Amino acid sequence: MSKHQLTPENWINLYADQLLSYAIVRVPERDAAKDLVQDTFFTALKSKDSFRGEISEKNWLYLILRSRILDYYKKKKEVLESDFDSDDNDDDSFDDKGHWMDSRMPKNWSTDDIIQNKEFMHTFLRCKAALKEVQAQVFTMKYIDGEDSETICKELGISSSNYWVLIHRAKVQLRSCLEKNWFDK
Amino acid sequence: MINCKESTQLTIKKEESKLTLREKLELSFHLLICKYCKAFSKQNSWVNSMSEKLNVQDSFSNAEKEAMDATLKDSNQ
Repeated sequence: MSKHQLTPENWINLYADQLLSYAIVRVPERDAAKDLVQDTFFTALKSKDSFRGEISEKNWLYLILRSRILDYYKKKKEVLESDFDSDDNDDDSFDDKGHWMDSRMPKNWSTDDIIQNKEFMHTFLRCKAALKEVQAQVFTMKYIDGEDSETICKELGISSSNYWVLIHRAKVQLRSCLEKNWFDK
Repeated sequence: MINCKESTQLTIKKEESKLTLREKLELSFHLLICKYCKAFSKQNSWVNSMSEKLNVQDSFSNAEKEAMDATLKDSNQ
């Protein structure tokens, strides 16, 4: 089998938009996504001697981008920690007895034909970006990247009980945001 | 008896098959009597499948690409 080659002179042209589209659904801000992609190309260039041609150039760039995104999450650790502190006291979805607040009670959704809808995708991303950063991160790792909870706890250095609080809060908030900004309109 | 907050927590935990038998029974019972949590459960599964398919096409401007390309070529010298 012939080995894969690197052609850095074609990278921007071939992969910049694909990588940006990948990053944009995983980090909350477009500028951050752009920086990560740019960073990916420079990291790739610096480490091109370590490329052994066992995977395609494209997959190699994706691997680098994924690790840049994970680094980006980890750098946010201070934000993560301050989020934990306030996390127990800001639940506006349930009352003291754990019943739904009136304004947050789930209504029925009509989800037909939404999957191809670009507008909806953007609403979804905006709702995800509106979550607290740490919630958005665990949500992304779990449901967009398909990691399991153990892996996520390990990577982000959070406890399992913190994880379940975060993911619950993220999903309740996201659901409510989607209802308000899409299904109720 | 579990409340709605607990029922939604269990609904999410159930995705990783982390429920005890008691929790499973309590959740099933709650979902039979609470239409809001029933709706939550259905929407939760839908959001999960949506997240896997999340696909947004974005692109850099031509100016941004040219700038990146130039810097990349410089550092490749």
